[in-house]
Amino acid sequence: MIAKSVIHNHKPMSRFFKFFILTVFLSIFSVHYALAKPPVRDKQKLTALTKQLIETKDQQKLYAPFAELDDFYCAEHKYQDYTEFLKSLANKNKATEPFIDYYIASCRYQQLKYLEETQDWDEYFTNGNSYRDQITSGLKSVVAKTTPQDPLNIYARLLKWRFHKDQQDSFQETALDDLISATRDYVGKSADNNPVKKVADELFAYGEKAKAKEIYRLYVDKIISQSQGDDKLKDTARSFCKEGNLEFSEVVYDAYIEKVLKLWPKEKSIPALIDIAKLFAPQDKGPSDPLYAEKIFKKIEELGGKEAFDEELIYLRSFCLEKAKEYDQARENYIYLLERYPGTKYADEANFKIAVISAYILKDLKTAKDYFKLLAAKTTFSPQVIASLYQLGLLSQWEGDTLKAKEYYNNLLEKSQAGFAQTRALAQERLKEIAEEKPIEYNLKTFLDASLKDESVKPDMNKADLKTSLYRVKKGETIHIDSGGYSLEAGCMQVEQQYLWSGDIGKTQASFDQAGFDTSYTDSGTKIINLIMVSPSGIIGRDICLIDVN
Amino acid sequence: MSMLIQQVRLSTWMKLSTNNQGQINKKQGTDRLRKIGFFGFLCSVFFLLILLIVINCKPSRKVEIKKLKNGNFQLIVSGKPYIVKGVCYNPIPIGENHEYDWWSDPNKPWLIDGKLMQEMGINTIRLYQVHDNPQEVRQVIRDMYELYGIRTILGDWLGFWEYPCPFYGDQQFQERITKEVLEMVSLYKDEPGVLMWILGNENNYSCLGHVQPWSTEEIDKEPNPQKQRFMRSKIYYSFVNDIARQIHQIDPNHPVALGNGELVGLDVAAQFCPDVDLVACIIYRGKTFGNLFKSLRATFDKPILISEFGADSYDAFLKKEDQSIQAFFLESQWRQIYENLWNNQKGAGNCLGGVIFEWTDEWWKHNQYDPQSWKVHDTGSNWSNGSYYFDIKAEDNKNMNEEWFGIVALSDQPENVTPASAQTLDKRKPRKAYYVVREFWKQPSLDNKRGKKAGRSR
Amino acid sequence: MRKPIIAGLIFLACLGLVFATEAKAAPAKEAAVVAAPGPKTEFVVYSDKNNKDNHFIPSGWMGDYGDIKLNDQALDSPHSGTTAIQFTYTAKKSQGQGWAGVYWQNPANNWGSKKGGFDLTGMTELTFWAKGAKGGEVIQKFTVGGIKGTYPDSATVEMGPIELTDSWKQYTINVAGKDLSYISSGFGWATNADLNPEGCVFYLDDIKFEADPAIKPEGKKQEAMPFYVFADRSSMNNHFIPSGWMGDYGDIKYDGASKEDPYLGDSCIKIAYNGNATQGARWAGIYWQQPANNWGNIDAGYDLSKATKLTFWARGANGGERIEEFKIGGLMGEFSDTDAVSIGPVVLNKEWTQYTIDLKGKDLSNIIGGFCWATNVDVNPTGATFYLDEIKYE
Repeated sequence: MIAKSVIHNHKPMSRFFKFFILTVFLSIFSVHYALAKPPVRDKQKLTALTKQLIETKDQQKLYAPFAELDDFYCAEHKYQDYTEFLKSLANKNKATEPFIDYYIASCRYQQLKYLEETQDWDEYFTNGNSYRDQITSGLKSVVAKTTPQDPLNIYARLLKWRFHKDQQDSFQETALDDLISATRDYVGKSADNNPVKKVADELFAYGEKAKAKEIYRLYVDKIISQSQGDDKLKDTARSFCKEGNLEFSEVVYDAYIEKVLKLWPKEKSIPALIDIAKLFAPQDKGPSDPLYAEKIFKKIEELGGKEAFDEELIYLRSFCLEKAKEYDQARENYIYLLERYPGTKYADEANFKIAVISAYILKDLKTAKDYFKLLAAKTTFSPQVIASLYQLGLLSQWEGDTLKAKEYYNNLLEKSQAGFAQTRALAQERLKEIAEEKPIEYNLKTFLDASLKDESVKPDMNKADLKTSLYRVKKGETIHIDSGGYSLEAGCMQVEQQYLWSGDIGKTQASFDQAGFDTSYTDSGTKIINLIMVSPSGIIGRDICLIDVN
Repeated sequence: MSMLIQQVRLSTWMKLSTNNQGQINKKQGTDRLRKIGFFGFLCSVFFLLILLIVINCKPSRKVEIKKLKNGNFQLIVSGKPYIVKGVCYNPIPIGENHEYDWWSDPNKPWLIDGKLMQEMGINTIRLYQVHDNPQEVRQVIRDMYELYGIRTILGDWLGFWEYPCPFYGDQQFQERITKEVLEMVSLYKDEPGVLMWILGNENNYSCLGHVQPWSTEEIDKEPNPQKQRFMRSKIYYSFVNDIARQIHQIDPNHPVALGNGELVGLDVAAQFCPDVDLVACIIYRGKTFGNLFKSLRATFDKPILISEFGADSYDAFLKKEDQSIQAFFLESQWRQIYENLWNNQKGAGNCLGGVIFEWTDEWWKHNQYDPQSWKVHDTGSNWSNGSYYFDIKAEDNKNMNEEWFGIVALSDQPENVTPASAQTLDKRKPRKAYYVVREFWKQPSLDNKRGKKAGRSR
Repeated sequence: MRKPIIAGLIFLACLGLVFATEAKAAPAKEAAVVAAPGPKTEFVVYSDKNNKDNHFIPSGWMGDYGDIKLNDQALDSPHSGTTAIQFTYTAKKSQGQGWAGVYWQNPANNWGSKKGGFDLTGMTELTFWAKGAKGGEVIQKFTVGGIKGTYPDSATVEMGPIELTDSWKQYTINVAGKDLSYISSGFGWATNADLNPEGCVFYLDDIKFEADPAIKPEGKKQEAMPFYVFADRSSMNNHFIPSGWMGDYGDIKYDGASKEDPYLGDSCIKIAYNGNATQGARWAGIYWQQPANNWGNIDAGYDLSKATKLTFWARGANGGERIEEFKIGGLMGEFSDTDAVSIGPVVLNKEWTQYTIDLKGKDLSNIIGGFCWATNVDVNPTGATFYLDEIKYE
């Protein structure tokens, strides 16, 4: 009986348990296998590509699959696998030979860069020379096996130049000359323009601006001559603009305007020009070129006269000129806006800016006061109306007429019951100065003296170039004000430069050693920021900028 | 019949020998003596030859400087020309300062460092001052030499950092320092791994009053400040000369170097310190040494070892590590060193090599009084040098980052060794400069315009 | 019957082939029309008033701008065409500067805040014709480029000083090898009252950039000795500019035309160091640099290899002033001085004393820091006023 119970105690492993162990074992194995092997999807992709590469005899059709292959391996930094794969393709399809040479060179180039980035110096230096040899010999072979009309020929020369440029060796100049002349040659012989753009883009990225411009021009001329015309040119220009490459966008737009729009009737060309101008006009964010926008506006005016401009466009043009610091013309346009559209919603802003420009840029105090008074007399108190009262007060105070100044300031405080806290604060500061018989705050006074006194106009007081991160800002939004980055040439020795900030500084206190600062505004309106730059030799810069707060 | 003939021959021979026995014996004896004598002569000649060969083959331990016919200088070690490819060695771990006793560190950092150095091609290390435990010092010197073939330069500060100042004008001070130096020489002169002695480092600046200023009554009475400087320099260099002379007396096998900051004061040294064998100069002139070598020829015609030079690997302007610029500077500096070795006709021919400052970063240097900061790789800087132009635009122009001069970086990850103490050994991570200089030494090319392989990357 | 039909078909086929080939050839021809733009051979700054080829406007007046008068249509015997430009410099120091100059700018008054530069890549020289009203007028320098700011010029090239004659002469500024990709100041001139104490009137005409492939970039030539750093305030032979003020620069007053008992000529340099430690450094000094403000960041300088010494005369206002160092070279940057030599400290006498810096064996092939002095408040507790004259390499 005991034996039986012993036998019963020794139960065999249940089927379920065996199955469980097997499953666990298989899972571990398959996970390991799965990690080790590329995903099935990737493998399929590679197989498909390989088939395509082996079977395609037309070299023009090989560019796309090779590019895909390059991306496939290099995205994961599998350079060794890549090189081996490429080598395995050799002798399978004659058409792929130059591609194999090119992409091996390109792979090694990317690999060297990757090793530098990851500071894998061991491999970089152990194998670096061999990789470099593969690059130079590979590219040489590509050039020998291709014709000047083949894009691959250009790509090889481009890679060769980039390689030598990165090395900063003595071959970079000849490589550059070689690349430029080959590209010129290519443009004349081949229909595919993409390599030309690639070359221009790379030249630009490496700082060879003059050469990049030349190649971009060839590219643009090619597009025009191929009559791929309107849309392609426009798209190219637009894409440059989007990339922030305004300079080249302008080059292409110039060509577009010259060769396409000029042929159109003005009913069609004017709206197109307006679109272009709007692209370059200062917006809330992003790069802009108000000078170019004005150039386009001039063209619009040439074609359609002033009638071609509606209220919004006149305002935009004035705003552009103001931001381009062409204050004279800006004032003219604001005045024109008011004449043409007396009821314009921009009236207060226009009046105010006319006044400010007259006062502080053009030293035309009479006109300035006229416009300030016009605003001050209004019964609806917009921010510019309140600010005009302040300005009138300030000018009176500066001229020594403290009674008049006080009148204006008190008027301001009365009218600005709620809101306008920052302007009120400024007015209160000024009133305090009058009450205590103190002069106007030093920075502000220096600015007023430098801007308004006749004898103080010095042609070399031009080192200040105020810039703001935004042209229009919302209440409470942070904006950065910069003095323009000028610093006295002193190399090792930092020479003391002082920045006398005044005006509507906003929430920040900017001290004299700050070349730039961040601020924000609680009131809306047009804010004026003044700057005087001082060095041991005296005032070296004077500038003003306007910010519109919504 | 044949038996008969043989017998006859035998008997004839016996007869002859019996008959001429006397004569033959006599002749034989003389012949024998001659042969013995000749043989003995041959043996002694052979033995002498062997002896001579052995003596010549046995490596001479001597380190000496040879002046060639064209006036160029060559360092000879064990009979062969030797280019000093050295590093300043002070393996202070992260979290410690200069007082740390690395000699007795059970992790023996020099064993890890020595291997890396050997792989790089370094053949010399410089120790600014020996430790007070001779056994430990010997261990380091021997390990470096026997395991890795790396020789050691031993130095002495000559009391420069003593408080309140080094009293070079005081006889007793001089005697004490001299004794200290001679003790060091006596202890280690027989170590095969020792290369040379360096006396002082940048002590000459104290003669100008720039650092650790000292004076004497006589000097203080002198109104002319230029003359004052001359008097101080004369005292100092004469003192160094005296030590050099005494070292030579007890150790004729190793050269004695005068440590000097720049070439400042060497016009005085030319008059009062002729017995040093070479000058060991500390030069931080940026990517090249300028006219250093030719200038030295004109001032104090001795060979030069650049005993401290290099570049830091931190860009204080862009506020990030820049290994490439350090590599660029070091390669450029080595190129100029090679241009001025004995074997280049176009150079000054007076350079014996260089010692890079330094092997590893030292994390205590920026603020040596704050132990917390020793654990941090500080990026601050206390001084400025315009010739390191790449980051001179840093705030206040302070661009020399003392904690970043190593050609090997330290990581707070431990080396893959079983720590013999609670403290692990910081992992060594060679920087780009390590590899660039390694490659340069493999193929020193003086033409930096020809397909530069290891330039600065974009 | 069949034969004509076959012949006809063949004929049509051939015709078709011909048309097809022509059609294929057409795009290729079109493509061939696009040619690279031909290189420009000249770029005019000024040839005649209102000439449509003119570029840049002489709007950038500097220094004592009140001393300058411009007539851009001077009719009296221009070099060519009908007009030349006439400048009158009165040397009255209206703005107290003692010097004046004019930049030609694009657009007018562009001091670097606007994008108005031209790409003059390929030009190798700027040529112009100039003459003085009387002869003997000295223009300190003529320039190309040099505008700094948000949109700085890509190059700065200077040439001078030039002593004009009373007849038209052509002058050249070599710009070969320079980066001319962005030039907003095509031309400029500057001079000072020291060189023209009575002022001067001079004429300019036919100012233009030219592309001559035979022109090679200018290399450095070995300067002849003696080579003056300072001879006299009005000397055309002065070199280097005392622009490198160091340490407590607020403590220094510099007068390069002091008449207080000069050693030689009519003027000497007077330096007053007040030792107030205005910038907190407690030391001060001045480097004479070439060009101005070159701290080793500009690849320029003189080749002074022929010099064996630098000599200068110095005296203290009271005697006993201590100058810690007189130095040549030693500026370290990307483009360092090739060597450095100094003497000091020097205790000055009340009488003029000559000092020498021995330059034998020194590498003077590129010197940007031509001369330097430095001292500190510890050795001059009440400051130091001293004079320098006849500073020269020989």
